[in-house]
Amino acid sequence: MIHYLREKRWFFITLAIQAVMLLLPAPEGVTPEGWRVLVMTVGATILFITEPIPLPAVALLIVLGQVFLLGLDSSLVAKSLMKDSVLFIMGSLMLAVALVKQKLDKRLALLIVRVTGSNTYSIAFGISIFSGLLASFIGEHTVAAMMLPVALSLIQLATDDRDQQRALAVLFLFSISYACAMAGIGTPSGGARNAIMIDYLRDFFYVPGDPATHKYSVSYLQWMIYAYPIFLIQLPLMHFILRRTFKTDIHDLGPAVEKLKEQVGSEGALTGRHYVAILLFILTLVGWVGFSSRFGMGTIAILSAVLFLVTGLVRWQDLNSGVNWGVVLLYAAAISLGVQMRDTGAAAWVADLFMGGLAPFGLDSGLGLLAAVMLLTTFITNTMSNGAAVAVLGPIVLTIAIGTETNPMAVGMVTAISSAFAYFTVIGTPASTIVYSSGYLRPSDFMKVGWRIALMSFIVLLTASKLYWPLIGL
Amino acid sequence: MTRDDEKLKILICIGGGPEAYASLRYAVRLSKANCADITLLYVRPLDSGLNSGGMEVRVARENVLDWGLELPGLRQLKAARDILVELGEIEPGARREWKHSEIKGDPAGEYVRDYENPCGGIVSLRLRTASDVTSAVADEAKRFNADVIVVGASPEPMTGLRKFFSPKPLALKIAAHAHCSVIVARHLEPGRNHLVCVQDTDQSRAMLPIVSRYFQSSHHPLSILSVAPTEADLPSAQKAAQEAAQILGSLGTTPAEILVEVGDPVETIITIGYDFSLILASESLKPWFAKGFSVSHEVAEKARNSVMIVK
Repeated sequence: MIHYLREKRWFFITLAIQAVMLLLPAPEGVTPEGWRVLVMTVGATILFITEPIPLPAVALLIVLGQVFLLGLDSSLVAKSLMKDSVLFIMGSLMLAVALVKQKLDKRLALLIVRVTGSNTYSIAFGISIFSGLLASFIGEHTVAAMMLPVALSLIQLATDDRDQQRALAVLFLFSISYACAMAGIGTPSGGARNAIMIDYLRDFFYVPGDPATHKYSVSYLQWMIYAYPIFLIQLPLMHFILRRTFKTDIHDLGPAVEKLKEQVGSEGALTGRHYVAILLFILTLVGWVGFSSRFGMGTIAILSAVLFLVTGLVRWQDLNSGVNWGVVLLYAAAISLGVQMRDTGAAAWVADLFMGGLAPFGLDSGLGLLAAVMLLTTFITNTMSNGAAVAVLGPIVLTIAIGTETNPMAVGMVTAISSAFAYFTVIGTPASTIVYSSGYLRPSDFMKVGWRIALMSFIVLLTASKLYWPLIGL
Repeated sequence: MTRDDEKLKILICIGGGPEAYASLRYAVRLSKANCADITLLYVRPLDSGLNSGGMEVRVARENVLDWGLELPGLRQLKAARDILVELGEIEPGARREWKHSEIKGDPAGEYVRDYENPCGGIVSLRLRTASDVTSAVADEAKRFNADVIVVGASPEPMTGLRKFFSPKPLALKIAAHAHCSVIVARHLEPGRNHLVCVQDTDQSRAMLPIVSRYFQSSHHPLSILSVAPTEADLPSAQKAAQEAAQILGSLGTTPAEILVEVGDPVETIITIGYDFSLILASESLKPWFAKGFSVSHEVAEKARNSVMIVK
């Protein structure tokens, strides 16, 4: 019992905080309904950070809270859970599993070393380019899982010396994880958080009959135009920082590359099955870029998953066991709660508070506001999952944008993009968790290089929001 | 009773530091005596929360294995295996494949590699993932039907404020939850005598056949210690010591010496026990959450050498 209470202490502390908040009178300027939504949001945020219960259970609590605390009709709550963005997240996760099942990673490894040659830093850069390009479309955790053995093979084939192995490991493994994290901003399918922000922008600002608001219905291609260059600029800078931070004595991996070629070369050439999988993936990208504004990104993602099933490239059992359904449920509930924050005025009240704190520092409008939002999101995303961070912050920052007459698109994009800046901790992003699971990295390594990469990302993002976005009419 | 029933089954937790490796020599000595089965277990904590959900890491882990690469934890297990090779428990050239099996509640499943030792016992390397290491070790001990778990403790017991603010050491948590006897290992070397602590209780008497079974053939000289908290308790302590000597003698284990002392049981056992390889004390009948307040668990927590809580 004591063990249980100790393990779940944050759950009970959260309940106690919520109970105290509910007993207090609602602060001036916020409706009783808005106050109850805030109580739920505070509770969900603490649970997101401390994780005393499985996060999908937090999603279920949000659903229950909407019915019992807010008094909403359960059918309405159920409806609010399923949106195109949620279908999109679900379809993207299925697509990622289907691609992993094709076992293309060994061919990818050969391709990387053929392109880069045997120079250690060239291979590290090649790994980040391939990881980044893939992760920008199919989700970072999938790519990190695919690339991990590529890096580990090279490390273990290069030398038996533990110190030298570690020096190579920090270079290669961070090349994977940071490239994946940065790439996640590139397209809506790169990270669920992007889909969440797209949904918020639509929910908050899009009116079907008003052409002036149509820019708030961001298509797949539009997102890429806004965000992809920012990812591409960061990639070489990230590599430069990594090679300056983690130096290695092994500059040539020729023998390791040869052994790798021997090992994975036995897999043989691509088969018809692989070609079909690659074709389906390209068709999905074409669908997202060309047709998502008409049919919805979620529909294209689901269509892609169905095609993989119909062609027999993946079995339902694989999707069923490989997709993290809890993630889908969590994001659905978080988005639903975000909409309640807007509808009840809770988001506006928090936004006013936030603005009151920023005004004395001159950070309540323009570039200053974007910088403040970026710092806040970076802080939050390092303490909880990036999708949950965007789900919690989205309604607040978009309301701030309205209140300060700052471009909501820019504020939304900055929030979504800076949610990728979780460079400081092992649990910051799934890709970091995966490379850490190799056993070669230490938590302090993330701190050592994380602040440098974060500083670079801050500068790139602020520069883009000042110079690039106005240029393309965002 | 079949030969397999007689075999000792020893589960050694690898990964908690150098103490576990040091205890391998001790386990091998027990193994030599009655051809014990030895399982080396490494439990990797499950990556928590949405960030990984376990699932993504599992995909990565499967890919890594598919490439024939080392999983985290295998290195520690291999280091332990190398010590067993050096001690002659595993043939130097023996190579085995890792076998994977699903375990309920463990998203990554279990990886096992088995070897046969010269007398026909099984040496098994096991890698598991679990959100709660204590439960995983207790579960593995049940699945393996272990007689004794060996788990390394920190060399220096925690004291002062640090003790109150730090989580309970893993070794003590395992000692409280496991179904079988647990050795909380600190500098566990087979060279010196063993000290069996007894009281005038049924629980204490019940442990003696188990103690005898462990050490009858391993030729570890045993000493018996009974501590009376006050002078008034001295007759009871003397009776317990004499009775223990008789029971052990009837089971074929003759104690080297019998000690009866007066004083605080925990402090006295720790002080006298310092010169021994291992202190043995019977498990408390208290519920698991209150075991920390029992003599055996307090000794296990504070002693500077190894303690076996006999169940």
